[in-house]
Amino acid sequence: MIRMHPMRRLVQFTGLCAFFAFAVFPVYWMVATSLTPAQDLFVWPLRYFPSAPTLEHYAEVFLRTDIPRFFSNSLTVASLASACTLTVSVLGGYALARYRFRGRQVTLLVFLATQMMPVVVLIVPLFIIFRILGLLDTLYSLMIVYTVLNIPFCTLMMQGFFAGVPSELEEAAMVDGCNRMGAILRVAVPLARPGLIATFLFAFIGAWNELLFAVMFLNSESTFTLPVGLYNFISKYDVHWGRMMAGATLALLPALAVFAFVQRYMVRGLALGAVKG
Amino acid sequence: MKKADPYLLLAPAYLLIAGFLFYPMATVFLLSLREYQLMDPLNTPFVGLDQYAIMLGDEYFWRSLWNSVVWVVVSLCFQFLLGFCLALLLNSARFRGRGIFQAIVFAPWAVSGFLIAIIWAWLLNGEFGLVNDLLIRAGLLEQKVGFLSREETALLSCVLANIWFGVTFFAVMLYAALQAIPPSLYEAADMDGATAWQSFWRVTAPMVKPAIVITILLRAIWIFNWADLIWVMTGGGPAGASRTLALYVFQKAFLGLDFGYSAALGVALTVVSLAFTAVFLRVTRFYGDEAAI
Repeated sequence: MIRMHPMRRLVQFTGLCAFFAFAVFPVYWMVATSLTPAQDLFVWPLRYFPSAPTLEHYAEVFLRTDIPRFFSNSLTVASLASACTLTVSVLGGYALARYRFRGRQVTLLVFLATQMMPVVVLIVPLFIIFRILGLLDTLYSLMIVYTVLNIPFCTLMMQGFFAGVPSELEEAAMVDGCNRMGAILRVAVPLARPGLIATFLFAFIGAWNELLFAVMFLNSESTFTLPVGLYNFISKYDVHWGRMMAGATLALLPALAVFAFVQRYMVRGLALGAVKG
Repeated sequence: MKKADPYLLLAPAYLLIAGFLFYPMATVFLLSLREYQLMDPLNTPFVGLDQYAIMLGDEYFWRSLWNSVVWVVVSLCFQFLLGFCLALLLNSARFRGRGIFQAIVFAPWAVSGFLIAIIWAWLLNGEFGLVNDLLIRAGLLEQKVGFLSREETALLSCVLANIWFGVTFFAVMLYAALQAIPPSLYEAADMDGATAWQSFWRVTAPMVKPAIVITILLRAIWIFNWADLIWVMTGGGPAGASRTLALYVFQKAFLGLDFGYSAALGVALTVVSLAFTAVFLRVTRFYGDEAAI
């Protein structure tokens, strides 16, 4: 490594600190607000640290709101949708990685292009379709939407992971009497496990965070997902910021936990346009 | 190996995408030719291109289109500049705990548009917001400003939140591109007596140019179509001052319950996205598929 000029080091250090503060501060402020007693939130000038941290907002969130139910709705939708996405994309990704067939290039291109489709435009036609299917105001409608929205990208992602796994082992398994499906499930899938986990979690974050379809399709509070439930906190005329930030912190935790696992795979994910909300 | 195998394996993906992405996308155009009010779904007369005529005369449409341009261009400029700086810093710095540092500065990516919006709505709050507090303490403001409720600042407030979120995307992509530059190129430049400035412009810049172009295009499309953040932060207000085209599509359906007109706006949105996508695909092919996947 080339030795660095002290001046350059200083610039570097300051820059890194600035980015760190920029990234962390808003999240810090959310957590700090959620821990500040209600009467201290509305004083001027503001206090930057909660002097007497309290869990009162969290207690309220758990006892007086339906957030626990919204949380479990979100968890159900996100995990089932990502499980479906994963199943479909493992099969598709495997086909794209292992076979050279007519239409392969087109499939890749079309899947990539779907990542650029304006998703808001789909809200109205899907609303009409789900009304006909009688699935409006149920979590099934969202599971279907989230599954489908994630499939193209997750399939491309799985294709990449399978391409990185040598195919000789599957061939050996088939020589030993496994059929193709058996070779996929017993050999390729276990070998590509890190990729499977990453793909599942990417799909999970996407589904966990989605708001617009949910707010359009869901009507009764018993079906609300967490973003819809929290959104309803704002749309009521008086925003209770302490409680709001406690709910937001709870909503962020699973996403951050998942992120800690997937951040290694981010480059591939982002390049495919995985950042749907 | 049977010939039908790959198609069977891909069948579930094809079917779901056809049924729930392409079919609805195709019906949007048909829908835009009808008068379709949510409250009256059985009475949807065919009106031809009438809604498009209404759209061209709708000042809110033009305003939302202009807001979309501001939203995309300003957000992108800052995301790119800051993201590139962060990538360069990460690439040149070697220190302990770098992995953790990287994970933390990249974390905004995992925050949903919805949460970003409420966090920033609280930071920019006109009465007890932190930004007001900081600016007043620094002597830059005389009195509190309701950033989200003023016409001049509402859209820029959303842009600020978007920048916070999107710097990560650029940083990750460009950092990956920087890491892929072979060190031998810098050594050669060094041997030839190049200054740091020269090796930046002669080695770094040309090597990461494909990644920059692709990232900017991808992001432009994505930001253009992104409606959640603004919807939660300002609802497009005041008086449409921060409403983008994507948000207009959503609001016409959600608040206006006017599906026909929303579909016509959606077609406009799609046309712009398609133009972008065409450029994107051309450019990606130009640089080789590897750059995109």
